[in-house]
Amino acid sequence: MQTVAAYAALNDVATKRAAMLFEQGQDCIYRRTDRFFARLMVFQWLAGIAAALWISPKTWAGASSQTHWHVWAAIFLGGAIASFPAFLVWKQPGRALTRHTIAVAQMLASALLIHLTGGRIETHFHVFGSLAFLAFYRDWRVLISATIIVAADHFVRGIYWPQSVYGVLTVSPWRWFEHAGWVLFEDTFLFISIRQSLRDMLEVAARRANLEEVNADIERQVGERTAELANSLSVLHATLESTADGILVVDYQGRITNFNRKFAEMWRLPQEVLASGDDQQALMAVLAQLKDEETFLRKVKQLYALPEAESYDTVEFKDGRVFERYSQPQRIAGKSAGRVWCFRDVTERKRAEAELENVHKQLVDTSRQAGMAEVATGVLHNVGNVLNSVNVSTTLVSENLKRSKAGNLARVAAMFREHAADLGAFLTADPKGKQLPAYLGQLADHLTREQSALLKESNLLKKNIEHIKDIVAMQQSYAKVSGVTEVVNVSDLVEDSLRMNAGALTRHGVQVIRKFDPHLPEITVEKHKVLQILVNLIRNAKYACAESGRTDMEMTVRVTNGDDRMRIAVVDNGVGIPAENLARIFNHGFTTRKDGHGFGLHSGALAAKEMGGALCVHSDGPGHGAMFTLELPIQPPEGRAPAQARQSASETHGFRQDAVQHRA
Amino acid sequence: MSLESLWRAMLTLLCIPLAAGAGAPDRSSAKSSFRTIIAALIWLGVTVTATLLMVAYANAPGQSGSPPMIWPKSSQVPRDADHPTLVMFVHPHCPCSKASISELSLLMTYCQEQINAHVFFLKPAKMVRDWVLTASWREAAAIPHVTVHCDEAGHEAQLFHAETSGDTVLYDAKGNLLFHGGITISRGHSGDNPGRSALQTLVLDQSAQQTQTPVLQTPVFGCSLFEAECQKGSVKCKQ
Repeated sequence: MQTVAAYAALNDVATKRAAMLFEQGQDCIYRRTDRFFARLMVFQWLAGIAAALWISPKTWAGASSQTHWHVWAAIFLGGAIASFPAFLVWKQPGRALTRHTIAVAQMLASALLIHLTGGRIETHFHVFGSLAFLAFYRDWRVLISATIIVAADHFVRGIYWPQSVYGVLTVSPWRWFEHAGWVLFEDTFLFISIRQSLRDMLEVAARRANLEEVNADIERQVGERTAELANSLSVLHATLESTADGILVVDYQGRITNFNRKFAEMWRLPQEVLASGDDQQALMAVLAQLKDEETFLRKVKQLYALPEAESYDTVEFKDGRVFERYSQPQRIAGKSAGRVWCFRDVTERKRAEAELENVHKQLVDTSRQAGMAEVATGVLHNVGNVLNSVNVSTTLVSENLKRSKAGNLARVAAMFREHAADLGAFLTADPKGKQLPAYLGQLADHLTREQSALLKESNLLKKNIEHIKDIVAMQQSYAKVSGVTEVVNVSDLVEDSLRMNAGALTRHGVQVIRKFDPHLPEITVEKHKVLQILVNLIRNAKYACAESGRTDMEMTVRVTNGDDRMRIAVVDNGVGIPAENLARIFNHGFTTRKDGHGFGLHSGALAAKEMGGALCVHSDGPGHGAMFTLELPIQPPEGRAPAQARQSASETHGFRQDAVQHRA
Repeated sequence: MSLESLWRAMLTLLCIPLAAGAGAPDRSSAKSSFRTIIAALIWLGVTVTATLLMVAYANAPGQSGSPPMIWPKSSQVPRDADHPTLVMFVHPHCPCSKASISELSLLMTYCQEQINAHVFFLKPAKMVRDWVLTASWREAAAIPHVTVHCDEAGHEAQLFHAETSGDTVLYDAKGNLLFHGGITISRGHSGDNPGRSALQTLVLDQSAQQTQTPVLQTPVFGCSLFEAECQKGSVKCKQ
């Protein structure tokens, strides 16, 4: 039942393996016992010869003698009995026929030995001893073969020589059965023993098969883990060797357990020091290179005294090199087993940092200067634009003053002084005097008109000057928060812009077409910024028209409203813009004019973005004019602080993209 | 059941492969097994036959003598007038006779003081006396109530017509032959045997001596006391 229980726990593969192991075990026992009996056979043969020579060497007749039959029997019969089984053991070990032959031979050898020893009772024990020996095979069938030979021997002797085996001349025909029965008696115990042995073998085979399976599984797992470990180790090794840091691992017994080549290179350690694996030697070898040996040593000792401590510091060398030193404990299963030292050569970085700091200082200075230049450029550009208008206005005022009839009033006054005595007659009789009242009326009218024109120009001049003031103020606002918004009428702003460029437009013969939505709401914006943008756009449109050489130059200013946003489009039929220029038209410094600065559209786009709006461009290409659209929110975006607006404005690149995309 | 099927069943029982499919891997192996079985059977036949021949030889008795029915007066052996007298003739070098002496020892144990025993060891004339003093001599001399003699030139053996070593005769107190033959079951084999049993009965049972007719006789197993040309009282044997 044990065997069944042992096998019941096995799977099919293990059961087959157990069966194979059992058969292998049996075969091993068969072969081993075969060899044992082969040697025993030879021994028995020699022992038989020796017994024959000792007990009955000769047979006599009077004084004559000759070799006893027993000697020949021992030599030849004994040899025949022993030789064939021995031959089978040599040629066919482990086979059933071999062991059955051995069983038969062993019983025949018993018969021979009993005979050679004169039928001594003691020699009969050879039969029972041989049966016990045959049980070594753990094959009950072998005992059957032996028993058959014993029974047959007694049976035949009982018939032909009963006295030789039973000591009496007449005997019951079943007497042989009694003798064979005693052999069977021993066989019974041997059968039980063999059966138990086979059970034990089966049990062992089952356990071994199970163990092998478990071992195979363990070996497989070990193999997998080993492969994983090898992979991890290779990764670790590759990582160690590929890192730019020098790494050293030391256990708490002061042995170097690992390091990478970089470490050896960085510390310029001799190979023999590294090969010694002695951390102390390595430490002594590097000390001479350091600026501050004592601090270095103290730190190392301190860290070894505190196994759980982590540290970071820098190490300076006499040759100017600087290493960063990181150290942390190496833990195995949560326990500190050693310490990992990581060194990074930061000499170049430190040098670069120093240079960077220097450059940074220079950059700060340069930036400050550059910032001032930018401010100056903006001021000059915008002020320059306005100054054009101022110049036109002053020219007009000057020409008007040159053409003024005010001089004629002085001549009239001189005529009155000349004819003061006869003023009445002069006015009534003199032909010139009679025309004076009408002339004075005309002159008054003319001077009134002239005054009106001058007032108009002076107002425009005043506005331009105020604009200049605003521009300056706006540029100043780059340096401080301003963001002062006003509620304005867009139409007025557009008109102001047109008016500021009116002279130039008139001179170049550009016809201005206004297309304003009838119910435009007021918007809250930074007025001067919008004005600046519009002046720029109108001025650019005028240039585009002038450069086109067309005779029907016209510029349309369209103001529309929708989606809480106001859109002011300045459309010209001028030279147009090539597609490749559209993407960079808002870039700082980009211009197609010889005397351009590349600043107006750039600053205009920035300003539009600052106000939560956008400046877009569209052109169907050269010769097809262009359209610039300023889009502004009716109300400035909530939470959009002027400072933020300025920050956004500084992100010029992002803005340009937005602008172009919006235009498209 | 045919003989072949019986044969196969026996081989199967003994787990001996006979042909392919019965455990042998291929035809050649089966052929080899068959040859081996045949060789084993031949070997078995030869060894069993030789063993039987050996047994047959062991059970083949020597030449049995015909001792005188009345104690020969010329014998030098002093016959006991009160008890039966046993005389055994032994070849001192006969290995088989050790068993006879052993059986004599056993007999004397059973028949203490009831019998007078003499053992004559043959000494051919050409041999020196030491030739007689063998282990058998010493064993016989050690048996109580047994007298050993050196039978010079086989004189006494010839008087009692003894032919084979181990030949034993028993005469009653009056000198009448009661028994003659061997007291072993086969050559050199000790153990219960008809000769010893008969002697034991004759010695211990007086009535058996008186009623015993004819003389009891058993086969003698041992070497010849005389060479072939000396037997049957040949003159040559008196060398």
